[in-house]
Amino acid sequence: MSRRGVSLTTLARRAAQTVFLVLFVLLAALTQARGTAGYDLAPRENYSPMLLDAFWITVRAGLAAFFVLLVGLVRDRAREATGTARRLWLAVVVLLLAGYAIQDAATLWHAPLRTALVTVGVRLLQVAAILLFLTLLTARPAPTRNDRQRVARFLRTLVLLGLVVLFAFLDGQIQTRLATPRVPPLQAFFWFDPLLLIATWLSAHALPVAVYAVPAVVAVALIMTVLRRWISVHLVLMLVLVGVAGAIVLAAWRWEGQQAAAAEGHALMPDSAAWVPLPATLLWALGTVVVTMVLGRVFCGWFCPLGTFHAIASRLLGGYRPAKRHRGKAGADDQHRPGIGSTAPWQRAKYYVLAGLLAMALLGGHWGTIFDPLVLLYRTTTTALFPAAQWAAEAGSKAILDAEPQEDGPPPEAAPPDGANHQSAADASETQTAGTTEAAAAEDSAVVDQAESRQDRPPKPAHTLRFRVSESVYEFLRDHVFYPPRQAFLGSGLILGFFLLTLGLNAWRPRFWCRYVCPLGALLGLLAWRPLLRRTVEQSKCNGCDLCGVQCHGAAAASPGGQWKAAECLGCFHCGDSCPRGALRFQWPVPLKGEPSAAAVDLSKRATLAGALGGVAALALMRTTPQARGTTFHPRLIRPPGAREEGEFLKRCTACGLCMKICPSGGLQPCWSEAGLEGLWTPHLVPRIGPCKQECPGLCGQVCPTGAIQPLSVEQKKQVKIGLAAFDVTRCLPYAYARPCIKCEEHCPVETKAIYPVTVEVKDHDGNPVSLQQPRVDLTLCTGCGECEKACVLLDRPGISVFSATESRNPGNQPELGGAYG
Amino acid sequence: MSTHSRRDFLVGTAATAATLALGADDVLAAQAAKPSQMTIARWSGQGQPSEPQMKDLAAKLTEKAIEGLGGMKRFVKKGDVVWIKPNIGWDRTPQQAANTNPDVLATLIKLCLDAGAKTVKVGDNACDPADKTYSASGLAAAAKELGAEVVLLDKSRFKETAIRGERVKSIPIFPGILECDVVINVPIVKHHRLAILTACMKNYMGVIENRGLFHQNIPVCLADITRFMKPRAKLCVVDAIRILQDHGPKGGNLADVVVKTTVAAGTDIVALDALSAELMGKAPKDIASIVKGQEAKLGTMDYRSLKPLEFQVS
Repeated sequence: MSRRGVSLTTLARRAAQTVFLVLFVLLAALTQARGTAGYDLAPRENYSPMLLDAFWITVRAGLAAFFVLLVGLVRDRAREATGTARRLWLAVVVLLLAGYAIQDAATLWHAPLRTALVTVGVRLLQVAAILLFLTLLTARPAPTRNDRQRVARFLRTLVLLGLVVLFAFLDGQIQTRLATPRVPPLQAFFWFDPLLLIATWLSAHALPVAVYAVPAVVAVALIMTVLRRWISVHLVLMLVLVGVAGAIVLAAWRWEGQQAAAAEGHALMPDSAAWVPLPATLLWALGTVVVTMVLGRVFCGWFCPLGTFHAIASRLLGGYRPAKRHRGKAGADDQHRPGIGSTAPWQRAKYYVLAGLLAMALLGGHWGTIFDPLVLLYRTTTTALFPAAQWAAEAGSKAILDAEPQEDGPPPEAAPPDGANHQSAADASETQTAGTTEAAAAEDSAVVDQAESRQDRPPKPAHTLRFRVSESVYEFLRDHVFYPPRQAFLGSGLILGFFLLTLGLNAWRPRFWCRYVCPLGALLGLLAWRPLLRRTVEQSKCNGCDLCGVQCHGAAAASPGGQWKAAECLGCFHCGDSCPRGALRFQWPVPLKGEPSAAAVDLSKRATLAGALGGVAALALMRTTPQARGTTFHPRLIRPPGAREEGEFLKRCTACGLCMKICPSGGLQPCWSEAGLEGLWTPHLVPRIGPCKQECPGLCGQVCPTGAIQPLSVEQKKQVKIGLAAFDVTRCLPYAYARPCIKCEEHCPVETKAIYPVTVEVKDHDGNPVSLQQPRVDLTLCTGCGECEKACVLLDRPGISVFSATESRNPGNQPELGGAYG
Repeated sequence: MSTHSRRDFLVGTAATAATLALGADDVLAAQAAKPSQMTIARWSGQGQPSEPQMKDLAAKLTEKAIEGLGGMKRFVKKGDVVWIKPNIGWDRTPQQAANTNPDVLATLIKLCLDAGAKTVKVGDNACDPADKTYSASGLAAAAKELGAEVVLLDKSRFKETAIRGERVKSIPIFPGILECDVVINVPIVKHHRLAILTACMKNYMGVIENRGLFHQNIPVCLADITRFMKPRAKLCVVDAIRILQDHGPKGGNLADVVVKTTVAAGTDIVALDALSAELMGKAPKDIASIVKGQEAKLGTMDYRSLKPLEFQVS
């Protein structure tokens, strides 16, 4: 294959990365609690129709783009490939075409004739687009280093991509017109994450197993040390993973029975000993496991949205430019300096991180998953990127609004009061004579006068173009993208800072996170032990120039000419494109044991053990606080309703931030210190920012991907206490300042009011008696929703606050006689 | 005025000394010439109407009350932009009587459009999340069905406005409401822990932000905002189809809801509040905001002195 500027494979990969990144962002944007059709995730009315359409159009566009690129790829391959490979590729295309045809037939069956004709027309256009696409590709000249030609090549690429996207877009539109698009599951991305599945399953269920597992791991480590020649760490880890996968399937089996039990009545006081499994949807991750075992880490190279962020950052920061890496170091044997894409020993670090994470999970600690890439990106998107964009839209449009030429205010009908006589002249004629027939006449004539005077009203000043544009953009974003106004999160700076740091490290080593740190990458690397798809180098063509190594995203080979490490390969297939001699390609070698082989990860047993012990030690350290031992309770650690008992909660919560994004009041916020280090970034309610709305059944529980928060019904939720309100009598107006207020009682959503007023007589500054209603809290009725705290007029430190006492989920935190134990 | 009973009318008017001085016929003559300032439409039936009957009654009572004032054309001119300001405060259903009855609102929208209004906008500064509140109250659906524009009051678009009141000098007000030609104030009658009653005057707390501050002196603050809104809102319609007798303003407990199947309309906001207080079983003189309203010359709490036209609707 001759070298090309951008190969079809690369185009396909970029299309996939773009599509998945866009879908990720759209899903995050769709995670809004509008409540137009009640607080429920299912009805379409609760979502912006435009976002929903955009989601499905992107899905269809992605499919179509992939299809077009695949056809081109097959044509390319078929020209060179022979026998099995050719037939295989053709079979894939035929299957895909058949899939399209069947789907079209199914949707057109009930469609009106006009729609059917349009659909067929679009399909024909798509075929035309594919032909045009292929013609353009074939006509492409050999690449040169000439700038003008480079620009031309770039433009051609744009045109090609544009063609694909245009026709795919049309296709997507047809599909959304034909079938009412369903609401996608908002947590869908997490379903495909095997790390989440395994770590959560381990931490939630494996504690009793750990009693046996820890000695077993030590024993295995000892045996391995003795028999190091025959058993690799890698093999053992693989066996462990297979065992875990089997156990998960078993757990899912048992889950069926549990579901029926859960439907009967929900345990408001979760029994920590009960076998409550994970949401079965996480089993989708087993699909990722299979794909990885066959194709390697294509998840990282094609799917992972965080990986796409890092790929973009690596390119923008110039990480792949070899000249930059070698600058200033000339003189030495540059020819043999390992390229930037050469495997570094430190890439093994991520496996040790994973070992620590899994060891921690085995003992019931779930902390490591806060570094899961999907979780990390979702949390950053929710708490930092979206609010930042929202701030820009809100503040920007407000600034433009304020800069508009001021209209004249409404005429001052209401005259300023002076002393006892604060009555306007206009009102006088109407009210002084009230009770007589003249009053009616005066009143009526006033009405008529006013009505007539409308015609002579001066025209309103025209708005500037700048304002009209900014206002419509703002309104669009407000109504479709940023639904809860002014959504903002505590401590988002640290979350964003961490994210930016990982992005910045790409300047030093491209895809730093993916190569060195990512625990999911490590897990997939272990699974990609013996992938079916492998890199081959035709030694007769290779001259060891190391262009492949320099451009390697995952640093998957010790260069030049080193062995390929399947576990490090991100499956971007970039190396094949970069080889000017066409010596490199990915193939399906049969038999699997033969050449070309893949190099093992080559983990150090000692370091693996150290990593695991580190994980255990970290967990032990995190558990040394009084709060972690369950002897104290943080007063402000108010978990969302349906959250499990603290220990069980921490065994499952990944701190992804989905619950915080969906919370209708925006009151769910990431913890900083409230839940200790182990609970970093896990959700807690800050009523001052937003209370727990009574009519919300706990959308947080419905979106939670790991079941840390359980889904409830509205009626169930009304029974759940998340805390207890308390007055600060040094602040509350009727207590401290002899002023009436009672706003908290008004806002109390409990039907019979958990806040009740007591009328008291106090003296004001001059010693005069003042009769006041002072609010009190009913210990039994208060659910801790925080409406009162939110409603309090004291905005800095409210006169009433909610504390965690009486929370249903924690049996230890029950002060009330006759409460949870009653 | 077909169902207007002369006897009812006489009983109503006899209460005031002013009317005693006049002959009943003179009053009737005056009534015929001048449009009334206040009307009260009641259901003539006994007990509690069924749900569909209540829906039907709400529309009929509203129509009757407006008709008694001389029709909607008296307030809405052709081409007007009308803002109907119901009470859409809480995430509650119509049965819980924490928000204005959707059928009363729907009827008013219809009457406005029939009178030639260009646009009818409906909106209130809800206490609970607006989308949910608008839909749970049934008001958004009712308004949309009749072609009104449902406006969610964007909190960042409220504008600090000088209202030059006695206690409240300036407060953020939603400008969209002030830019309309006509404002129609359509509250529901409810219990309110602090103000005892929430009806017409109290309903104006939904055009502003920072309303929590009002609680420290609610009668004067309500008089201030009412004085500011008065020239803009000539027409008030009181929804007393169902009233919330206790645990207001949010309510939620069906035991607190009392069915009154009454709609009143008028141009005197204090008089309408006084009537609302009586419907709640309170004396107007015990409600500080009503007393303050009369003191501030915003209207009269002796609503009978206005000789309200009373209708019985079956």
